[in-house]
Amino acid sequence: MSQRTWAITKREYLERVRARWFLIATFGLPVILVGIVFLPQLVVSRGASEDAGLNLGVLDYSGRVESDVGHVLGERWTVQPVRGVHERREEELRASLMATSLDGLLVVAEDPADGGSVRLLTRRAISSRQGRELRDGIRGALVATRLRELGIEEIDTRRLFRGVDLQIILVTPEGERSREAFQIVAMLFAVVTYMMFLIYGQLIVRAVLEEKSSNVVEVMMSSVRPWEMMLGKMFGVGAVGLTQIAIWAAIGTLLSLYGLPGLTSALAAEGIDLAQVQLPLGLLAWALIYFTLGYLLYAGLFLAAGASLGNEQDAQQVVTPLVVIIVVGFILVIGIIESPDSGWAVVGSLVPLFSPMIVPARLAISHVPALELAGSVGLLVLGMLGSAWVAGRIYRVAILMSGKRANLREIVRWIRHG
Amino acid sequence: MIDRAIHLRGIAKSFGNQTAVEDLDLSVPSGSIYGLLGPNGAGKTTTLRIILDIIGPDRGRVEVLGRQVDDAVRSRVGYLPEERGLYQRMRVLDHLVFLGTLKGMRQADARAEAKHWLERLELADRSTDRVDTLSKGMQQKVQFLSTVLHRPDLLILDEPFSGLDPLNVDLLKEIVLERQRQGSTVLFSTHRIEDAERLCDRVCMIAGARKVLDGPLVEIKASAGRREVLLSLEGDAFFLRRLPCVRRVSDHGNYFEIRLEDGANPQEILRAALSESVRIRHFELAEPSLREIFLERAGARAAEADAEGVS
Repeated sequence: MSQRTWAITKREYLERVRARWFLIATFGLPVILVGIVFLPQLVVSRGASEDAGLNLGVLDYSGRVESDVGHVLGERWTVQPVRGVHERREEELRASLMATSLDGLLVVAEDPADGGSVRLLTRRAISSRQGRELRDGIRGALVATRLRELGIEEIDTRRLFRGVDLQIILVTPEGERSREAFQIVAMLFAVVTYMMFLIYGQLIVRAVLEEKSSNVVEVMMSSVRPWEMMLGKMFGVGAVGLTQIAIWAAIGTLLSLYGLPGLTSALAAEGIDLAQVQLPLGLLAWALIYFTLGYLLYAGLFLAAGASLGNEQDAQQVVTPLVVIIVVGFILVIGIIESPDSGWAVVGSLVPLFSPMIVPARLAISHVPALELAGSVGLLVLGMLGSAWVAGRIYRVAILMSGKRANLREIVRWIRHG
Repeated sequence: MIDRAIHLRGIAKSFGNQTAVEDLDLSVPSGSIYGLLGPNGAGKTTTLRIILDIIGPDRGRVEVLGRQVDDAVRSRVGYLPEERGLYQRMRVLDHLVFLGTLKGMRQADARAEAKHWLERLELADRSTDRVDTLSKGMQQKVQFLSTVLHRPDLLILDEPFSGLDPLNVDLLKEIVLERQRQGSTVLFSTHRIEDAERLCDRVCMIAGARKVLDGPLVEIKASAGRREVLLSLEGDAFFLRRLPCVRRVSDHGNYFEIRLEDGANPQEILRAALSESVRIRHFELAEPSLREIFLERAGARAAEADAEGVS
């Protein structure tokens, strides 16, 4: 790297890191992100303890399940049989519910085994957790009824229905990984990469536009070559991104060591123990390699877009397709995390525009064959070089144009003839 | 020492179907102060950009400081573009150090030089302020300063004095002359011919993408001959325009600059003035000003172009 490229890199880096924006983004983004991911869960888990007891009435027209329902649901809630409402008219049911102090009225129509419906008329909001518990309880009760009618008595339905907690553990040369925990890691990789590409891409566009509109560019061009200026800009802005990631990683490490009460318990509720998630260094290295290469690829494209534009309004038009590509990549990753070795995943890993988001996520939860990985990195490097080359050709000519915006034909001409 | 700081041969450049520079030869001797003159849009800035290798010419050869422009040449040149521009959010001193290091200076040297120059331009107390807190004139001084910071062998200034008050213009001129005394070559472009006339020892005029005049100022003036009358009078000056010996009259407000026909006798003006009973305050036979020469040449070219268009 020449002294000039280094000077430009340093300037771009220091100017940005010193800006107030950097502090806000570095500490604001994780808060927002954690908020989006965990706030709903925090609300739910808090709600579980706040779920008040329900006082339910059971109205059994079939006359067969009342005792079992009362028995099973009675373990959790207050249940009492309701009689006397023999007319099956809606108004009467509603009126009888309103007349009592009951929270809800469980109405069993004909024999549920023959397809009869079960309805819960309620005066209070039932949380989705309560709904689930009620459904499971009623199902257990109905099964118990049927079993008893078949002559099987004394059945512990809860034992009968006990689920299996299947732990999926990926065994790799670097150790074992719990699928659930590393799914979060994969998601984290994808989200961070996605956000960084979007944010830093726009940042580069703005930097180039600012340079053009303030005419600094002409002074710069009398001292350095366009190529040096472009690289300096890409490196400098990229270094800011890496700094930000390093800060986040440090915060993340501290959190996993010392824990954050709400977060840890929210994760624990999902069956994830933060302490178990030890990120293998190899995985981190790959994530960093893909991030860096991917960043350089997109930085080149954003840079070229920014340079060929006259002003901020035009910028949005040309930048939008790039943003769409990144968003598509992110959507792909979400699907790929669900099935990390699908055909989509393999193909996506080879496309340089998508692989920086896809491959680190896959590496976290799956085993990517060496050959596939080599192909993916190779193509990404080619893509990155290609992007830098095209960007260099466009940048060189476009950076001096002011006012009007280049059309596509002109841009193609610049790329071909320089 | 190279005897020509800049050497252009057959330079041409067009943008789309608009010709900015056509077949331009230019030779700037080392150590001279060279003025590139011409009206707005004549191709001055394009020429400067070609010299600096900011844009490439369509045709022709460019040699600067004895070679094709490369990194080594770039770091020996200082350039003040017409469209001034600095990073608005940087601090003044940081900015100067940054531009200095781009020219190959060591950071510490650049800092020391920048401090020295800020002191001299009375901007020392603003050195830690952000550029965008400075007035336009101050920003221009900072930018000018950045072009001399690294003691360049070649100084290229595009309209360096526009927008500055006379005090600062003099200060900048002083620095330019000082650079020349220390061996630098200065090429500056301006559309204000008076600036060039006072400062340059050589000029090149371009109009309509072509060169119309080139050479040492003294020779240009000598070749134009002493056929200029400066006249100041009280009364109606309208009679001047009717005299057959007068080719053109330029009204400068306080005085008239009169261009005579070839072979005309200046005394005829005096005689006519006496018979018109106006009072003469000042009468001088003078060298034509660069402005007059330029108007004549540019006009001749325009007429030529018209004639070509007709035929």
